[in-house]
Amino acid sequence: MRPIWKERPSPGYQAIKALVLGGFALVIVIPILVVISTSLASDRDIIDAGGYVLWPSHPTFKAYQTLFGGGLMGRAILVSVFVTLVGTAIALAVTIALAYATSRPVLFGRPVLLMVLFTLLFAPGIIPMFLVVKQLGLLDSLWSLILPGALGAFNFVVLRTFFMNVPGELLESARIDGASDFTILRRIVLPLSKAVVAVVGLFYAVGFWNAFFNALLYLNDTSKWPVQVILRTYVLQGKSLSADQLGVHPPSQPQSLQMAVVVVALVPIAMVYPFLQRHFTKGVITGAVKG
Amino acid sequence: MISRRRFLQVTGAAIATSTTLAACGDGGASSGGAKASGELTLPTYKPFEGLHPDFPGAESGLEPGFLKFPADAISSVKAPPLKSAVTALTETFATPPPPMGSNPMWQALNSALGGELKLTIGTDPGYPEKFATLLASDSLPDLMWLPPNQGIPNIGPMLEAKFQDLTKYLSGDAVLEYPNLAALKPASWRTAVVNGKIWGAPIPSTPFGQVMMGNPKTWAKVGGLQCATADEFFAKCKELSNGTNYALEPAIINMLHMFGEWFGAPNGWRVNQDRSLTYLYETDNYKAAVEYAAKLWAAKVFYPDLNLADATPKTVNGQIAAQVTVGPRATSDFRNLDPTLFVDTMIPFGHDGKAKPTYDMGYGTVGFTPFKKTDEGRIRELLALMDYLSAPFGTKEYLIKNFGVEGQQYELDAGKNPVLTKAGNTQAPGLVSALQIMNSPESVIFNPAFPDDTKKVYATEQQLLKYAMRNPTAGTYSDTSSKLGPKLTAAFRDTIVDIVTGRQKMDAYDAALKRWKSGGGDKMRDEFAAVLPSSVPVTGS
Repeated sequence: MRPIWKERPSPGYQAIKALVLGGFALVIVIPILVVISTSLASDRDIIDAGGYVLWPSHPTFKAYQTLFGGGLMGRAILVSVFVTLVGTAIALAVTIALAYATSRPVLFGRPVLLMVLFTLLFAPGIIPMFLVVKQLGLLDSLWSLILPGALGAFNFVVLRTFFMNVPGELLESARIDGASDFTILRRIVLPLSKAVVAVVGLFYAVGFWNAFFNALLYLNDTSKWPVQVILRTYVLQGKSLSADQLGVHPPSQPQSLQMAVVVVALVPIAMVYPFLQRHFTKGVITGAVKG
Repeated sequence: MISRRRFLQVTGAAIATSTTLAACGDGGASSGGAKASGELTLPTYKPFEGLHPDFPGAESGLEPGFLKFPADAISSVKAPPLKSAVTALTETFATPPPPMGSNPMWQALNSALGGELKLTIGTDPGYPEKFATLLASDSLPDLMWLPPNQGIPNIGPMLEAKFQDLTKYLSGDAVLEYPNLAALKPASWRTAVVNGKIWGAPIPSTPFGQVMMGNPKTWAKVGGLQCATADEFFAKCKELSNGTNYALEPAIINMLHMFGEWFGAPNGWRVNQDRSLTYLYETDNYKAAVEYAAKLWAAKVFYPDLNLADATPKTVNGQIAAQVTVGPRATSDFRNLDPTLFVDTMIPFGHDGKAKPTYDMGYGTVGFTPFKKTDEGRIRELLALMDYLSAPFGTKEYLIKNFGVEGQQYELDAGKNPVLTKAGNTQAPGLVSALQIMNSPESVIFNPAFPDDTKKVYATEQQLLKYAMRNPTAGTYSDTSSKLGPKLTAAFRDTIVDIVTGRQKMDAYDAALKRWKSGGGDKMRDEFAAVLPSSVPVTGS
């Protein structure tokens, strides 16, 4: 008799599986569909539906035209793309270099350095950070969004742990062949760590793409604001607690416009996932098994 | 998303605990500020002449109404105020404007002012953080908008250390040199007085507070929104709710605020005969309102999703019959969605048809804008700028600040009212919101597209004023309230919402009240009582 996992599942069981999985898929797809539909809906659709629209009966691109008409959104997308690409590249370079160095037992003063890095896990206060950014002359510059976040302690720990699991024998043999540390990192360690680098890169990219609070604090020039800040102002307009307390009351943005901003903020980063997903699964599994 | 429906809405309660954080009309108790404030001469009030509203305003708070924009706008200042650039921190509640370099409206304003007005525009929420970082880093702009109720602590010492005392330039008749500032009401000026000194020009906003609004088409089925007793309201709500349509939006705390008015609950604090204070939560009136709300919830007349962010579209399409809005002028929000809809505003009534209801007025200002410490010449220049930006409705300066330049940002419609053009719609809203929050004239009622609304809103305001009650502690300061007020209020409200929605029994009320008192409520009472101005009347008298 074959073991049970080699049996063909019964049609009934298949159907239940499909139902459950399909249900979960719907739970994920429907909210996104609603966001997209609402962004394409006309005012009439929105009033008829009382807010969110599942399927617009009079689709229109009006919301997107309004959104990009001001010029602010176009620039914001460029800013976000720049910060995400450059930020991720710099953050990966810094983190990989540091993780590799601290993963090798020969490094002088390693415990002290690790202790210092350990403190990075705790976020600094808003004002100390502001003072540092100010004294580095980064105020009102896009670098203020990139450099303070260039080393994530958590990502560093993940990478370092991974690098430590690269067999020492491999590195020794490379050294016997005359490879420098840089060559070892580039030719041996990195190719073995593609999966985890992709994962950490994705963490960084999502982090840079989603960040808005630093932009609020450090950037005074509205033309340098990233997409998320714009998203926040559109969605919160007319709904915030403080506006109510103050009694100022700008009308809320139309629901379609709010959802159009959500779509614009969501789509670019969501498009990255399919390309990295292969590595992503692999990376997570590797980490899980090797612990 | 922080929704105003779910958090500390500006109810009477919020005003008492969290919204008087800073306005400091009479300063801190420790520095003798209350006494000093009593000796201060407020700026002389001299209304702006040369404007003739269709419906006159009144000292009571009644806002003047304009059916159309005054023709041939007059000038309210003699010369451009600035000689050099000015930097300012402000906040926009609209979507941010294009930056100065690519914003012709901003540039036009600069040339009218005679110098560049460089604004650092904060967004909402996040302003207190921005304010705190600028302050801590000692890189202060010339002007910084200071909101009264956004949790900026230690106002008194901060002003003394970093900002300019403007008393001698503004107190008494000195203000007459700046006619637009002299046209701001004494009630507004109280906000800008801390430790007995004047620190900036106040920023008036509508003095009215929350009201309940309903879609008349929905309420027509049950004989209209207005009721004479709480039982009548209950019956109407029940009739309007059927499992798909509901009578009330699920903003429990806001709704409770309305019920509290019918049951005679005070606006924040009640001043007793012996001038001691009783807080809203301690009154039987509020407790009765909570019981009433629980009864309504049990009758399933509230829309069941407590997380509903914005009820407005549902009120427009009839799924929800009534919601609570910021004030009587909010009728325009519904017009925006459906131009054919003019919503009804509920006038408070006594719960049993006999008791006197109350109507809670709002805060009335959005704070003031203090100056960085500087020399006399610069102070005069900045005051002239304040004067310009506080130009009353209907003046040339008001047009430039709010609508830009004719033919570019705005055009005149058939009724000669300014209407933003497409360019204006891009350039104006974020900039105008940022300018209005740091300087404003006294508010008016003006609905150019629907002049009839102006008349109706004016009539509603007159009716509401019959029951008007102001928060006795507005403009005073309690340290405990700044630090603990919002937390205590939130904890108490959690219990109330639980009681209303049936998750807890009514006996949880007293336990929560006890926690509120021992957690800081009693201390707040002592602090507010110590600085209670003698001009504040005993409640109900």
